[in-house]
Amino acid sequence: MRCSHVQRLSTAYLDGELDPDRSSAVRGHLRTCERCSAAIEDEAAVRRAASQLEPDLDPPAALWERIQEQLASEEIRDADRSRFWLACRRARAALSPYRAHVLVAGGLAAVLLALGLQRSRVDIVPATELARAEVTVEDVSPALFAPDRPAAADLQRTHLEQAMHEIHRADRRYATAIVELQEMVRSERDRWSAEAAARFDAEVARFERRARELEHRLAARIPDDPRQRDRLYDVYREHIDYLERAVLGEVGE
Amino acid sequence: MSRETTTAAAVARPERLRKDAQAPEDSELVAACRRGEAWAMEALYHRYKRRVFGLVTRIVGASDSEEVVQEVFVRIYRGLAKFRGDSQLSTWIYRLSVNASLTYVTRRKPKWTDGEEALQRLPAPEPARRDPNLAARLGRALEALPPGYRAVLVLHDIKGLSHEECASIMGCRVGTSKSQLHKARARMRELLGPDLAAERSR
Repeated sequence: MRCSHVQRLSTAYLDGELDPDRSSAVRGHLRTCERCSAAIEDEAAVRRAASQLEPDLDPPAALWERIQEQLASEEIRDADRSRFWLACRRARAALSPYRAHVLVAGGLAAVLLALGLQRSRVDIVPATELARAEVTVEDVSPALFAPDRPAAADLQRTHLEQAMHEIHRADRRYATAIVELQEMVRSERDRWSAEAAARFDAEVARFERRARELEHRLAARIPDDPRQRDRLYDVYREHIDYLERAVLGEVGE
Repeated sequence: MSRETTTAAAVARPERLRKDAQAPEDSELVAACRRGEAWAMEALYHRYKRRVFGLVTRIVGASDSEEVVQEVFVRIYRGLAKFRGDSQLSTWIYRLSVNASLTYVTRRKPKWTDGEEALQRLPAPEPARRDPNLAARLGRALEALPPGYRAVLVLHDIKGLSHEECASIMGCRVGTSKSQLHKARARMRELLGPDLAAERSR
């Protein structure tokens, strides 16, 4: 057995994972090779030292409170943001069989499908959260295991591309939802009084003005401004909320 | 109270006492957490706080570990709804811990840590001493390892997990875990060079 071969097998040998034949061959080599013997001893010392590191300590007592606080604030933020998701679920549950039939024919199901709400998750997330896209070992392992390559620039670029992709996807889904819901409202609208219809049109016009204004401002900024985009998505969501209420007949009095 | 109720209550007591005496299984804790039961969330925290804190500290260092541990537990509670129980709870928690730690480390250092710089920051090697000192120096030398190597060395050699568990936590193949460990130990050997020579001459 050559030195290079023994070196490659050192970890498996020390951890008892080598088959008996190769183990014996390694031991035989070590009897006569001073260099490999020293290298194996060193690695054994590293392993021993690592296993002797002090046992885990307790984190400070205040940490539990901070965890609860952060959890609470994130859940409160969720409650606000997922109004659309909750509203759609409510809508589905509240539909009477007859209206369900009509709306399904009219395409509420299509809207829900288009938004991917038939799955258990809604992918519409605010831009600030997208910017903090989680990185797993799988994503970055080449960079992590090559000590000489600067990984940070590559990572940042991937994050940005990923985030922009998600934003475009979210934009399209909002637009689709709004268009489809507006279609559905049209049939309801015929049954309203003239005043109610006028009020509805004014509200919708307001939403669209705000949205266009924010879109215009965002288009001029590269890269994206997460706070502005959050505000834009808030407008979309309010718009959708309002349209959904109109479809369910809550607005036409 | 009617006699029946008393009897029924009395008969139920041994069962209830037995249940109180045993700590709930991980699966029971998870189920209770999902129901939003505060006692379960706190119990889960205390059950895993040391392991998570230890693991995170070894990867990100002592000064930043609290912040990362906080993030890990928030992710645990928010992710429990999605935890399907197809892996062990501990493996899943370790995975969240390693992911959060590695994310933090890669974001924190805009320039790659130069191994040489880190070496210079280590205190000068002392004359041959007993193992505990080598362990301490290894602990400090962890900082100079690339984060990927650091993680596998911490999980396998320091925490004593198997390669199967390491691979599951890190999301790689078992073979990858083994080869990364080999390289991690080799790099550590370089970093600790003089100390190891002293060890050998004892």
